[in-house]
Amino acid sequence: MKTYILKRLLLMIPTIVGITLLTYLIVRLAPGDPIEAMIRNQSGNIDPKAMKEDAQKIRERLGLIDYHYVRDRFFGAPSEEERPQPTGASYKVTDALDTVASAGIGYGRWVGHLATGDFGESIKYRTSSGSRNPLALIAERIPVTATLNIIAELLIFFIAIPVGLAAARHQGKWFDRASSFVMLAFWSVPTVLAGTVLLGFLGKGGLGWSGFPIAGLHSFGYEKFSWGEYLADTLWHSVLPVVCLTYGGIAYLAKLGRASLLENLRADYVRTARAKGLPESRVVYHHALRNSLLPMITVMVLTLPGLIGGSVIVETIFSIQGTGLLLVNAAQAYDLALIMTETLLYGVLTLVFLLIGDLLYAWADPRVRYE
Amino acid sequence: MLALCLSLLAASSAFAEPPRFAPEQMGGTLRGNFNAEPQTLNPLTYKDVYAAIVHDRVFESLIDRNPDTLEFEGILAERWEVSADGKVITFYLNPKARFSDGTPVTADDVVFTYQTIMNPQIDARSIASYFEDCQGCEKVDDRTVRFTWKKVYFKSLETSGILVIPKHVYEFKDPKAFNEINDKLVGSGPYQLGEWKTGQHLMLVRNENYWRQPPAIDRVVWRFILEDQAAVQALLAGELDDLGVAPEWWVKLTPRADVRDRFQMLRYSSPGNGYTYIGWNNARPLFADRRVRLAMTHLVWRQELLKYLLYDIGEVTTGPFWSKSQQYDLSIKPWPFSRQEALRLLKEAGWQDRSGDGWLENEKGERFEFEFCSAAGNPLTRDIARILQEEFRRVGIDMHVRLYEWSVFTVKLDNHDFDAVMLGWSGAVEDDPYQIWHSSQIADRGSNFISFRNPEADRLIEEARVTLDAAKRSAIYHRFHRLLHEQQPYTFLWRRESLRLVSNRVKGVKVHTLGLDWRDWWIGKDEAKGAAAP
Repeated sequence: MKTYILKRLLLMIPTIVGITLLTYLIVRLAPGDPIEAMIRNQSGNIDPKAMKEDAQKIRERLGLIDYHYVRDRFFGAPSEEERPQPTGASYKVTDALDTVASAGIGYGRWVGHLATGDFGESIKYRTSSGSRNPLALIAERIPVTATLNIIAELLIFFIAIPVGLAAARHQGKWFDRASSFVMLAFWSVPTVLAGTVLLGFLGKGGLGWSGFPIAGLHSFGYEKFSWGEYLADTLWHSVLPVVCLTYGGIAYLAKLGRASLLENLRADYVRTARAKGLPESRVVYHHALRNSLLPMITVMVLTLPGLIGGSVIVETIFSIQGTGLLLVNAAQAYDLALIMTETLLYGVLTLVFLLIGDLLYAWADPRVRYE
Repeated sequence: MLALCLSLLAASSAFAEPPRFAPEQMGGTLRGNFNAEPQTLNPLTYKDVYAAIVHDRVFESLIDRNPDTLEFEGILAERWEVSADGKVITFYLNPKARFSDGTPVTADDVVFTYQTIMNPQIDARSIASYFEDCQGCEKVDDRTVRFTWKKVYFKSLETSGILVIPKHVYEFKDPKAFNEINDKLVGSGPYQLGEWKTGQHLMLVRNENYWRQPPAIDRVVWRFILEDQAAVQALLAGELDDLGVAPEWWVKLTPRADVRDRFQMLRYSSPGNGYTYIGWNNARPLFADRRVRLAMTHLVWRQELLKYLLYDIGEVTTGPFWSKSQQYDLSIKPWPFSRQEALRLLKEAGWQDRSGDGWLENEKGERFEFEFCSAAGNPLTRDIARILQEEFRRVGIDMHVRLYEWSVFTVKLDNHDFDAVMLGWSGAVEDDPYQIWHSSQIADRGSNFISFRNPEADRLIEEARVTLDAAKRSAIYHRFHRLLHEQQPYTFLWRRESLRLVSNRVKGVKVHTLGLDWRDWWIGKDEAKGAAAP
């Protein structure tokens, strides 16, 4: 058992390296110059010379020193004519190699800093207190995202399982068909569409019932609310976002629960139980249900990282300041330190949940053994 | 209430003129929206338009333009003098001017602001770049500051009239500490920072020590609703009082009776909106010929494109200047849409269908084809490109459309690696065409990426820069405008208009030459129920 966990933990390392390296390369190898694009976006028509200097300053601050800089330090600087100019259309093979080399060096530096516990500095978010640590920024927003996701996960569990079971018990009857149809529809609707439609029909000022809040998680002046009011206000604001986070998971888990129970109902031990003359309810709820819940618990754990991904969309639509929106903002601002830290965190979280899921499965089903 | 009366009394005794607003007009909360949360509210190193909107109410500059006449007026400066050679500008500060903490605004504050902007360790390069030709800013006495410029330049006065921050509040030892200031706002303006709740809202409250006429509205709150649709719904639900909307929303909302009853629908031209254009790469042999460029303009049916793609919200423009400015020559009429005229011009330039295959060819038998580049991701650009492609095909011009990621596109511009581009420039009340049109700005990734090279244009631009008399300068710009009209280095498309919906709760809303001015607005007491809370 211990060896198994250790093995799995060791295997996580190359996976994490893969995830972060890929993210880093995508951001760094995006065409054009992200730093210069950022300066251009900030200040409109800026003088190109000033921009070059500014860009160099930012690069140094972020550890995005390019390949030329490193080469110059070790092998002496080439003259202006020898130095290849990074140009778009006339991109030569050597330029491309330089870019890849720069990205490689940059990634190495990032890992080096990480080893000393330095996550870098966010360029987008600065505060007077000087706290620009990406981890702190993420930590501030975790409670919001976590709350929404925990509510969503509980709802998924308590809605999907009864629906799945009922569908399995009445296989082929109207409830099974109707729920299958609805679940398939839920599974097919993208979150972006669901969010926009819910906002437009159920949100305030919308076309339909228009009662739900449309942005944020709190009303104005919530600081003065009593505990009860605060809770009610927050829950009321969470309704639409939570619905968006939930319906896909419900569809998935309900279909899975149905399939799982059906499989168990066909198993020999159920036939035996029935043959013994046990009442049908005891056969289903005591014997078959317990066995079919096993795979569902592990799947539940595995859906958690998926929900975090969903938060990116939902938080953007409903203007909720959680980790998902933070990642969107970071990506738009080319905030490399923040993007990398959050990707790393998501990556680790996903792998940890995968491990927990596997362990839970083995714990619940003694037939599974670690080798 | 008593406090309010007292402050009104104080205000009326301090000024000879009567207060602008009656007591019953005072009070209330104005609720607006930002599409994104400002990154920082630092007065000098800010990065977005939202911070600038906040600063407009918290800080004041030495001088500013009158929203109707567009003439400069003293704000912190009581008066100013420009030396005969135009290089020395002296501001005399108003002795009444106070920061919100009660400290007088002095020459030291102006010099401190200037030196902070120019400090290479301060991330204010975008402001500092305007001062490249400035020799310095010095204190003459407590109430007098002098800016000295190396060259004569008509923009020097406007540039020198900086927004002033208090030295005793922002003074720093470590520039890094200043760069990191993000929510300390102390200025001489009518509002000060109330609270900034990340992810929730930003609130300004009245500066009770304000040294000029107090504004009517007590508090201004901006929410951070990021989705356009959600923001429009918040407006309709009565949670916002004021919202700028896109043309698509404007045409959907304005016909609705309930919207017409509850909102003031404002549509106006503002200089900042700038213009959209198609730029022809003048360095490419194809577009080096004026007749070809002019023919292209004759083939772009601007009025119709504006009508069908932009719901007619905007105006066709013939030049780079704001149409309400003195720079713009209103006597210049847009070239009409005309296929015959285009074909005539093209034939004159040697382009006609010689082989009978439907495409135009030159003497060497080369087909008239070119690439039309723009940035990807904008459906409007895509639609325009498709319509033009179809139109050009009818006369035998083969246009290929290439839409690039913005970052790739800018590299192509820097390298002059394109035939034609569609883009926009933002504008100002009075523009200096130097950066975009002077031939010196072609090299080294300058903004004249279409390589417009015209000695007469260069001469006019240079002459206008050193002409301090506004009327004479406008006359030069009219000649420059006409020259561009004849040369057609760009096909100027249109200027778009600003669209805003403002709740009927807000009174006194007027459209000035420069657009809306929040100083006019008043609400009165918030209605008892819910009106104060967004």
